[in-house]
Amino acid sequence: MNQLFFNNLIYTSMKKLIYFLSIFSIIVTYSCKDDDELNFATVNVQLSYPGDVGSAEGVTVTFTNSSGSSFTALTDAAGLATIQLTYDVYEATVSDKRSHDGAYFVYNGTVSGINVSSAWDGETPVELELTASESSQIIIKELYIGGCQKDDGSGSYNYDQFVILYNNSDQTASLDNICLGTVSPYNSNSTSKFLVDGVPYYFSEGWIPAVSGSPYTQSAVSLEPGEEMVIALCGAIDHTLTYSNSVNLANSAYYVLYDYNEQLTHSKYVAPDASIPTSQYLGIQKWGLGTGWVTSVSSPAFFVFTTKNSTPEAFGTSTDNLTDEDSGSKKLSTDWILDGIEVFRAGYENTKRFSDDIDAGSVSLTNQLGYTLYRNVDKEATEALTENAGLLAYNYTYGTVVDGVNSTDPSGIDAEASIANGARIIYMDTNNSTNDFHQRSQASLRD
Amino acid sequence: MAQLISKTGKTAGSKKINQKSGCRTIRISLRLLILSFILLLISFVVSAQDFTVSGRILDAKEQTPIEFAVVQITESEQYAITDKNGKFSIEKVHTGNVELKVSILGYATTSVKINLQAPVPDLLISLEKSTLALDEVIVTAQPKEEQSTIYKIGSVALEHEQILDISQIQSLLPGGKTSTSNDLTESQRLYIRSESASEKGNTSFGTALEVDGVRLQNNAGFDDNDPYGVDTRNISTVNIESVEVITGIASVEHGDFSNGIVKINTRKGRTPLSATVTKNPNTKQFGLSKGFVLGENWGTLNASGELTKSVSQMMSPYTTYDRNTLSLTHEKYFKNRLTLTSGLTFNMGGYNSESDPDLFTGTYTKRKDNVVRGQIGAKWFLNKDWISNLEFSTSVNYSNKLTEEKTRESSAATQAANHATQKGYFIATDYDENPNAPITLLPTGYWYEIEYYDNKMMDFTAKLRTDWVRSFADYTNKILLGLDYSNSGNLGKGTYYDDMRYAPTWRPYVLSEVPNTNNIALFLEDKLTKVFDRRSKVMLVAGVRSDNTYINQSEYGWVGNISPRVNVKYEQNNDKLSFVRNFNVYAGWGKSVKLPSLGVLNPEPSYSSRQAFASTSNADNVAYYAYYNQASTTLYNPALKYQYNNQVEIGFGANIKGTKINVSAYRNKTVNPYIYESVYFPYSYKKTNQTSLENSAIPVEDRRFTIDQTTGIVTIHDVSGTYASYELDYEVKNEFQSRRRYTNGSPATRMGVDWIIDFARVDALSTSFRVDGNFYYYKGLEEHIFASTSGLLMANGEPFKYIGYYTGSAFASESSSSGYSNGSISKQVNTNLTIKTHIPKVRMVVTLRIESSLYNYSQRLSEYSGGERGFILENKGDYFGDDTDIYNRNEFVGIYPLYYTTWEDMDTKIPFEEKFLWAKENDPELYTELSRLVEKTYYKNYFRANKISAYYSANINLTKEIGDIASISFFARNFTQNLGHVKSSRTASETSLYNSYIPDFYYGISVRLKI
Repeated sequence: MNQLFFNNLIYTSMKKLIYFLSIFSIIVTYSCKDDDELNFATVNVQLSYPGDVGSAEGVTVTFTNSSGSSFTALTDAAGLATIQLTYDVYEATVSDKRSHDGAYFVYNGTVSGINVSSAWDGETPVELELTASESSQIIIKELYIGGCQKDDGSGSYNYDQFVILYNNSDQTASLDNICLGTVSPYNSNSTSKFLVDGVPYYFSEGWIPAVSGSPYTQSAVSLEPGEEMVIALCGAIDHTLTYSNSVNLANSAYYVLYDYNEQLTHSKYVAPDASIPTSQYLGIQKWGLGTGWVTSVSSPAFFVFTTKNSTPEAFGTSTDNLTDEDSGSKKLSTDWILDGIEVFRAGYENTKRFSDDIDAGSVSLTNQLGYTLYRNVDKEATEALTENAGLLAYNYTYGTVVDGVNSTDPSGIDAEASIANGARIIYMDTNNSTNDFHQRSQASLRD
Repeated sequence: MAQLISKTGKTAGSKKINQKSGCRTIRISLRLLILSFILLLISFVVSAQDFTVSGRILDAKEQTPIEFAVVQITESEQYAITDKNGKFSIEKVHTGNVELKVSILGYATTSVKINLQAPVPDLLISLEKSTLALDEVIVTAQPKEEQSTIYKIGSVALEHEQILDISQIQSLLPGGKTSTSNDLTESQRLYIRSESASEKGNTSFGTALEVDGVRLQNNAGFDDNDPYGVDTRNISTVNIESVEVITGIASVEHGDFSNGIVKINTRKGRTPLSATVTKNPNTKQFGLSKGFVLGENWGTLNASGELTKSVSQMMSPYTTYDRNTLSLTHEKYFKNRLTLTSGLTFNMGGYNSESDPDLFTGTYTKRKDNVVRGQIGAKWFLNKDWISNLEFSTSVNYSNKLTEEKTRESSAATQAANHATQKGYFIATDYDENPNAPITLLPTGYWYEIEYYDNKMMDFTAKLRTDWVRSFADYTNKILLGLDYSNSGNLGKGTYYDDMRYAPTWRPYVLSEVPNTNNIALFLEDKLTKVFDRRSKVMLVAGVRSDNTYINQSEYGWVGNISPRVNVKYEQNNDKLSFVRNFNVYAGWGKSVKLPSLGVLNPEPSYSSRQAFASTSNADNVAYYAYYNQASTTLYNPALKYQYNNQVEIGFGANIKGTKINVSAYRNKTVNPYIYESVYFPYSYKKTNQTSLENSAIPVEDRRFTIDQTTGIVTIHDVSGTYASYELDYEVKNEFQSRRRYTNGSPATRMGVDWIIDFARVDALSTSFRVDGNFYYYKGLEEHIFASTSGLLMANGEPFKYIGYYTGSAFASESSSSGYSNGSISKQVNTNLTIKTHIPKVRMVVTLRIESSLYNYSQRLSEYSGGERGFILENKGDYFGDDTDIYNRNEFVGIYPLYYTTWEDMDTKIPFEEKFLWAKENDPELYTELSRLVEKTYYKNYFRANKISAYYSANINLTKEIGDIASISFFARNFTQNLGHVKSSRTASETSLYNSYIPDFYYGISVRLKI
């Protein structure tokens, strides 16, 4: 009797053991499988700054994978960012903005093809080299040179051109003079005379060929943070009296290019409005032929500069700075340039005239329709300002379509309406007009 | 017997004189004079030996008499016109070998040679109708027998080529190229023996054009800087019998030309009713003409009309040029050998863009081209011992070229319209306040502006000619004496505007107030011909022409010039079966003078003005501008000389077993071409600018300004009276005024060779080949010193105060400023091959012409006899250089002025190069300013030789007659659509031939009916 009972007990416990073991092994097998699907690696990125510039803590490094999703990591004090990433191919970009002495520096860098896989070495950091571009306090906020349509349909009107300069920093900007210029060739679809193997050779020599001449302020200029300077390039009058699609430039705060000495004899240089004091008349140094300051009405490579350790008169009359290739151009050092904008002609094949450190991109303009080129708002920096709380206006409606693509301010902030509310706008300045500008449906002075 | 004496007497005598001594030229010429006088006397005595030649002219096929045929003796030029029975009779024809030439419209010209030893009572000559059924048909330009540099283009050639405009005949001359313009909407002009309009001496103005003996002028034209030659578009092409082009030395009968003469002869006499329809993609032409016989004794009347419309764009046929012509010519031949001719031509047409929908609504350009031309002539063939012919003709030519242009304007701000003609300071006023103010303000807003240019040229001519022909022994001597008078003037108002409210800166210059030009010319010519056996001959022509011009009220007064011309030719005719059937050689030398246009002699008063004050703009965008105004009329140049041409030419022609060769070479030097220069006068004026308006208490809307005409001081007033008026501060500016002066430039040389080889017809193929071409060389170098200054400000902000003086200029003919080059050389070789297949049985002719440019070389020059002109710049920024080899090195070139003067002292000429070198080390400010006077070429290859690679274009023309009633012509131009490329050695780049050097592919058709 006892033998049979014990046999039965052993048999049932064995069965239970087998069941338990099989269940246990199943569980173990499945959990091993889960371990396979959770493969990731540690990626270290070391930022390398140019020159003597030191690393900074808290700089955002953005990783974008092959399907377009992005992940961010912040650097430590030594400029090293660490992130856990699943196996994929990534592109890492950095844009570090710093300011000192009234000048902004933007450090840009990109590394692509970071192949995170089982073979990834997490110990060796990926080197991300950054190049610096200096942003100045004075930037071009708006460039209106395309003209508008006349009321009677007889064509376009181009004598209402203006440019608006702006102090984008948080300190007063004081300069001995502010000068304007454009780069040869006038239009973006013309062939440059400076090409060597398809690239302008002056890109690597630190100068640009400034063509035709340069308007310049007659005295020192001082702009408060957030203050703008409107410069009428020919007629500082109310053009809307005859051309309703145009702008009113008769304003005592505006500057105007007008020369008493008849260097500008073209009929578009009419006597400025009485409200504008003569101290706001810009003079002109001309070194090209023509009855005025010749600029493109479709696609100028426009820039604003100041003469460091020199004067506009000395630069204009000097016989040492002529270029070999184009007798209407002078060599202007890129050190002097405060800001530049590369405007391309919509619908044409265009070539760049500015090197990457001045403007790495371009913005397209369809001219003769009253469109203007307006700078995008730096959403992050503007919203970060405490003084702007509750003053910012959104729902920006002045975008247009260029070459079939939408061109509008990606921040969505209506800068002019916000300024009218009392806000201080900080504009995007990455020295890349593809990111920094859009084509606006009407000049801001018409808002 | 007497003849024999004179023959031997002359030859023996001259031989003796020559053997005696070669140095005593005066005695020799005196003796020759005496001898020829004796000869003439003898010929008087010996003139008993002449007879009457009579006969009848009949139609070869019908054997019916032909009325109005002209029968002419070649050397003596005696002639008669057949009556209604075909009968003619010429008295006093000298014995010997005589050639009679019979010609009449519609028939082939026939020559008959007879040896006249007794009166000829009834000479029968049959004429063949001129159709494609003839054995020989000419569709090219043929050199005339009398002088190889006169080319004749017959109506068959003109119809075969479908000439719609006279300037197109240039393609038929040796080496000529088909015009590249497709339509008549742009001016067309003639340039003989010249390849480019930019050559010195204004070659189109120097090419003379005559229609039926009436010279068409452009002397009364005031076209800006370069008066052009006559625009040929308003001349009808449906009624032309022939065109003669004189490219070489012309008889002294012709004057006032420098480059050649084109003579158009229209149809006269009885002609069948002929209708022409011509169509090509841009132009359509309808023509109708008929020559009537008016009863028994009223002569013939030839009437011709044409309607032609040409559009500039086939796609948008709205901008047009119209030509609507009616001409009537009446001719009456009296029994006593008096021929009266009178003609009247009307043309109404012009250019009109009004209906073009692509232009803005309401805007247009219209240019009239209306002409009325009338002429009367009488020609009396007296055939007396002391006089042969007497001819008188007079003509009137009125040409209305009114231009009307309506444009759409707009402005946001007021602009000044300066109409001041007085010297001094004037300020702009509102138009409504004073419409007659010297300066008014143009409005703001939108408006239409209509500008007129009223140009009505009126020319009147009168000619009287007489000649006396004497034949004795084998000699014929013709003395021609004549007088030409012409008067040119303009009846137009010049430029004016329909509404002065919208008129821009402008002062009136009424052309009708400019005094007319009177030209009187006298000429005398002697032509001596000696005929040998078989009509071989020697011909010597010597003549002199005196041209005199008088302009009432002009400082130039009376100007006169003498042009002598000499020509000698030898022609030999051999047996028809010999290897060389005939040949001729000739040589000539002559001078011709071109009168300047009214524009040069009576220059337009012009004004220079500088802005003396500009206010600011008020709320309505109104600003007041003031100017300092001075007259800058062209300066009188007492040393201005006539432009004239000296031409030398030689030629050779031969007929070798049926192949005709003609070669002529010429050298033509244009001396004293008309050019103009700028002369600078320093002056000062007061300038007031907006800074003096700042801090003015007077509100902007209440401000009014006045300026003192003499002192130039601006006073500001308050319209409301609250504030007192006061004077504004000013600056004094030192400026230069430039005034134009016409003068004579350095000579230009042209040389060339023209050749034509007409190969004997290949009968088996019914085809003949012709090769013609030309070599052309031009060199012009200007050494006149021109003044020029810089428009830039000096470093201190003041106007530039230096004037540089440079040798020569880049620009041709009437040049005004310094430039990089002061001359150019060009050489060209053009050859055409014409293959003509003519099948008389089918009455059809087809020609294939291949036009080629084999060599085309041009180079800009920078040279002058006093030293080097220009140096190589190793770098664009350099101002100095040692290498003067500018032609072979492909670099930038710098050019210094010879010397310079300053505003303070215009008399001291400071040598430039020395001072510039010195200033570089010692006076940097002066160095910077002087550097603006250094000219630098824009391109590195500016002085490089430019050779264009060879290219060709081929045309095909076809004419077929259908019976005696109709003929149809078709042409295709550039029918191979040559889209090749030519390479330019100067730029080392290629250009497509399409739309550049050769005409576009083009075609046209023409149908003619003759009833």
